[in-house]
Amino acid sequence: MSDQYPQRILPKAALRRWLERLLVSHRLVGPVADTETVTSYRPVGPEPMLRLSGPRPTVSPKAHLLPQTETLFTFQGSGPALALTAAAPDATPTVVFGVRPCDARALRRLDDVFLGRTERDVHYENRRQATVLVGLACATPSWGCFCTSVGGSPAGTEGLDMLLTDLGDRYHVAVLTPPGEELAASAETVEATANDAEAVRAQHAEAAARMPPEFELEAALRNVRWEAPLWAQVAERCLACGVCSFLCPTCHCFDMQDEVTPDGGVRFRCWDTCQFSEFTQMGAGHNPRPTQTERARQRVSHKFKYLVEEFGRAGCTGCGRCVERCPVNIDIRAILREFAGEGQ
Amino acid sequence: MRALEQAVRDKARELLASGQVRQVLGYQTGSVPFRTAPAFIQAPEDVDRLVWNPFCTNNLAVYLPAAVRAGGRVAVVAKGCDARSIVTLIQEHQVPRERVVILGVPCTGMAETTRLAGADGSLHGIAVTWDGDGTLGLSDADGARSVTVQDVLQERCRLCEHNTPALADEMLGEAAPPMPGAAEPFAAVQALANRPVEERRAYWRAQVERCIRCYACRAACPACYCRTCFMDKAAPRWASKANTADESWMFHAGRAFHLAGRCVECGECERVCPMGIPISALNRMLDREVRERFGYRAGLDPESVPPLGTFRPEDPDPGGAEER
Repeated sequence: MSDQYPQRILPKAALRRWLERLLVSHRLVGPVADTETVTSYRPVGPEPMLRLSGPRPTVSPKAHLLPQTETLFTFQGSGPALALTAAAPDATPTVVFGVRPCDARALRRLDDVFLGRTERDVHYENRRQATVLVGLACATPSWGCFCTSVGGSPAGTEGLDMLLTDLGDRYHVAVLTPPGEELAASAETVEATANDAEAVRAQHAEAAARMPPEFELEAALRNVRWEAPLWAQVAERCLACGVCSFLCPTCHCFDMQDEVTPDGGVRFRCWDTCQFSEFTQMGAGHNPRPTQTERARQRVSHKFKYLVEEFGRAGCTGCGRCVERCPVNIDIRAILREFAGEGQ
Repeated sequence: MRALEQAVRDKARELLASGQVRQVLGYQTGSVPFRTAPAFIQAPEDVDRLVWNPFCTNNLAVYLPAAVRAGGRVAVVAKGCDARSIVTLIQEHQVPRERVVILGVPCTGMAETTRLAGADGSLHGIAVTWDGDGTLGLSDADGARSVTVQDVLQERCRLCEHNTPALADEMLGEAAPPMPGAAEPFAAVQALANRPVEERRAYWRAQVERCIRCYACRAACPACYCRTCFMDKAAPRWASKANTADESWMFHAGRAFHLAGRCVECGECERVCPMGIPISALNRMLDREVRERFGYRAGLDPESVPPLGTFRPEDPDPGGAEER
């Protein structure tokens, strides 16, 4: 935890007033209850009802940085008279509240992809720079969680601007960056005591202790390989839906579509996934990944081989959503355990 | 029901060892104690991987067309709902009758795993034991406790009217008693249908707005076997890939209409939906229409002709001139 900023305490009774103040200057996005068991990050209004307790939300906040559908440009006319109008980047000041450490790290992985190459993605960049991430330490792991196996922690701060820790009647507030400091200024906080600091340490340690690493990440990364017989075994069971990719906080592949009307049209991008057969389907009919075996290999290799080779970091932060929501119990932890065990 | 698990293994071993089938589709231990995973058994020595317990929730019929295309005969461990799906696949010529061996298991219902969670709402680290009958033993940070499967029954199982397979080549075990909600399978959808139309419109709009178009519902559905779904058709494109509530509504409504008179209410679509969309309510409404108007239930008789697969001049004309 950063010692650069003083540790603060926010009484829970003051949370509502803080959120209302943030709403004046920011778009506020937080975890809301869609159903009894489904929680999503959604924009909230003047009476924010946030679901801040329990395991991490069902859906990650990814869509607020990389929307599922996003217009890139519109066009009018045709031929020499064709006119393109680029979509204005969205730089609305935004606070994403209650971000779990796995999801904040995941946004760092998206930064690698969209900001870490020669070409920067202007839409992602604008949103990212306008967004402040208020984290919430995990006290309750969900059953698919494995952040500590991939270098994370239930109280990790990577990518966050501040981290809240629930201490019952109050939140401990750790400010981590200048934007976080600016945000914290509008909260009615008091200085944290030595007792508060101790309670936070104990809670973070307890949460981490509930999540022992499940596999040797380095060994798994060394052994993920093109010819593994495992791909066909995974594929046999895989139904080729997009649940794992669309819930994944680091999956970022998209399709681009033109929708044309007689007067013009629109080009947008939308989430896509290597698990769909049409993802690599060529116009002339050829498909370089003809079966689910190649598609299973692609998703795992992209996260645990290709991104590692390109950026030195795996494209997985152990949120476990793919584990829990796979209709046929394909468990990425078991796949990585198997690769990790191969070298021994 | 431990005897049932043994019966499944014995029959699988016999069918594989004698060469009567190439493969047995069943359930194996999952990665956590409250999930099973589909199993594809081809060698007699692997049959002991097969399990039977209150977590055998997947409808394995979804794998059958591809398994049969791969060659040989295929045996499937089938609950009542799975067997109905297989009947539908046979009727619709997706699976030749002689290529499938239905291993019928009388089903007393599957457990809703989310209802096993402790006070903190998490299943993390939970240990689950099953007494082989109707009781699950649970142990986690909150301590040890037990629940009956009936107490934590999945809603689709509670409403199931055909928990004993209607068609089986080998029936493993005695017929199971009727499920508690079987007498009133339409009570919940009727309550929804009784609401004013504007209220229903708003309700469904709010539901489909959550859809992320992952198509898990479609992928898990044994009746959704189109090689190219209308939603994926690229030339011409029938539906936009832009994820709007209108497009999602077209998908869910379109899928429901395609399933009218074919859906067997296995509820897999709703189980696998990550967003909690009550998809099977749509299917159940249409199932009721088909029952009332055509006196037909899907997936019970492979010799029957589904209402949407035929036409008779005297057929009712829902929404037609005489009803308007």
